[in-house]
Amino acid sequence: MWATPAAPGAVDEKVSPMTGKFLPRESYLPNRPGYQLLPFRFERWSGDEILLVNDVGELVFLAADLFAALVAHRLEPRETTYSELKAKHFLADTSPSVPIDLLATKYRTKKSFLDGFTKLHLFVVTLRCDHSCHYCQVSRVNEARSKFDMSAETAERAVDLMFCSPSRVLKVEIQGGEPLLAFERIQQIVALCEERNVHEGRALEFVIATNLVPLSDEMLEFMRQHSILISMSLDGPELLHNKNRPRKGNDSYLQVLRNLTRAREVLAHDRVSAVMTTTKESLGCPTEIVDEYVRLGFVSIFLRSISPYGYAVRTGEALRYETDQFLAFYKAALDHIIEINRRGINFVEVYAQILLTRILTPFATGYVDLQSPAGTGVGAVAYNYDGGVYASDEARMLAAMGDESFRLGSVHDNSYEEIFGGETLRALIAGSVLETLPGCADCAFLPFCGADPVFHWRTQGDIVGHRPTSAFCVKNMAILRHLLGLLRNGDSFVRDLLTSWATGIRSHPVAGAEGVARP
Amino acid sequence: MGDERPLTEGASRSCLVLEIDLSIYEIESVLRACYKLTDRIYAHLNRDPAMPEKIQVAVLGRQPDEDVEALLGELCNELIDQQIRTALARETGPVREMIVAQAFAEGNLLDPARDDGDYVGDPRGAGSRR
Repeated sequence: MWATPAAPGAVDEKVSPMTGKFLPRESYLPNRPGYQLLPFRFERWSGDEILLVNDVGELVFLAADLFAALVAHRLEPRETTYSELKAKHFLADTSPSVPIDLLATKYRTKKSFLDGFTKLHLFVVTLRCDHSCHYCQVSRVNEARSKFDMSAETAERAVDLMFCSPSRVLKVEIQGGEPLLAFERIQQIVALCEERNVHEGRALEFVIATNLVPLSDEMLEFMRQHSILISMSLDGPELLHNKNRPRKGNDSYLQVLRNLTRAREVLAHDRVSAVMTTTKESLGCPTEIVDEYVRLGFVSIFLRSISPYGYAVRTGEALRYETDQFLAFYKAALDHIIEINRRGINFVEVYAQILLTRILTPFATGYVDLQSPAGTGVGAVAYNYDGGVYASDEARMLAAMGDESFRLGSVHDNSYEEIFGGETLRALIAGSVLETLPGCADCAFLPFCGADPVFHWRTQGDIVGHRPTSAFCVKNMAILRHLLGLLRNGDSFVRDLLTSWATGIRSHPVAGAEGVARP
Repeated sequence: MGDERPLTEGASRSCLVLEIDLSIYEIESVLRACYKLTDRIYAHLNRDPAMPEKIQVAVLGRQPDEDVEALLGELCNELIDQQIRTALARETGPVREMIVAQAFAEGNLLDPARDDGDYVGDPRGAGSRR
């Protein structure tokens, strides 16, 4: 068991009381036999190696014999590994209060996404859409059915509720359906937020998630005046995009390209980002999709798999490919992205960037779909067109399928305290702390991962889920293993590149960066 | 590796039964090891009241063509890892709880006096005249 911490105020024995100088090196070896282990988790890596990760994400690869020696308290202080394990807080041989204090500080930093509570507020201003994508996760309706638009009163109440959040940062994401079909409501929400914020003084940010097709000059000017970001959908080259995202005239791709150019001219190049969804048809063209993003001047891509909600389930799209196929697609696309960077083009895969930030830095990431406890309600909340408040966008999609399990309340009928202090959200949080979940509690990847209770409810029938058969777990474990493998076994360029995605720091200049060639 | 037995009387498929010594592996480790393999096995745990120091795990592959002997080997290796995890959790659990408590505590749980200290009390004499 743990030794008693040194008495507060005790004089450090490592400094000579006579001279005030440091003593010889031997004096810094443990002054009593043995050491104490600090908490960590481990996983068999490959062959004869074990991966050790502590609660704050520090990691070490150990040969099996050294691992056996470590856990049996037989590791010699003169071993190089001993110093590394001590420096990274896997063991302690001096006053235990020091590593506990340091680990607690790092742990608090890793969990800083909890500070201020809900930051991301999703406003679903309409379910109408001019596209009929097979994978649509939001159960869109025909563009003429305006009864699925958010009313002015609902918008007002949702904004009131959002400002009850204690968060200093409020990110307003407006989506649909196709939100630009309800542009008046967007204008109202932005105006209400800005008016309210004169006194509130929050850091306010607006994003519109759109297919970009209904974009008018008036809309663009409004977005410019109010510093609104655009997150648009682009699934890849023309054939693939149009197949994935059909609309009348089958011209989605051309419309998107035309409006992308206009949006960049008015708002600035970096105010428009894109998201893609991987369909069965996408699986065969990882390089083509990445090349399309590079060709159009994007600096990043988020390789997303299909979520099992809404229209994607009704059409069977969510079931059309297995996780293994997505992983093969993901790895091929990532390999291609690395090669593109090797050619001198800076281009990032966003999901890898999120995971690498967790692996390589002490910082938290704001990505709400991979947190512990889950980001449901805590990190993000969705206000549906009818005033229903949901723990996440996925919870809203589930409701559209007839399952209201994660409806937290209504902007019309419930107070902030009732919605965010209610049993539904409490149960979601309690059931999504990885440290308490079977399978996750022992997993070495825990500090890099998160929980998705709504996904597990949908796919496995309970919010905890069964890890060995969870597609969420299989996907994240495989991607984490792949990234750790690249960090461990990749050449110096790959290691440097992946590190730069997490830290923004590049130790070697990119070869050929002066003349950026596009594929 | 294990004894081959019919899962139930008259069952068409046989399962392999592994006898585990509970003085080596704790029940928690056995359960965790079985859980980890439940994507590929069905496991049934049984204890004979006459032999409380042993537990029997009957293992059946989820797929009819599964190599159950290989799965049993995997289970044996997993038992070792899970027993190490159980021992580590026992050894480091209180420290883990202390780290989390300290991370979210308002004050300093490790050294409450430190929050109230000042330079005059510095053990190196920072507060005294030279």
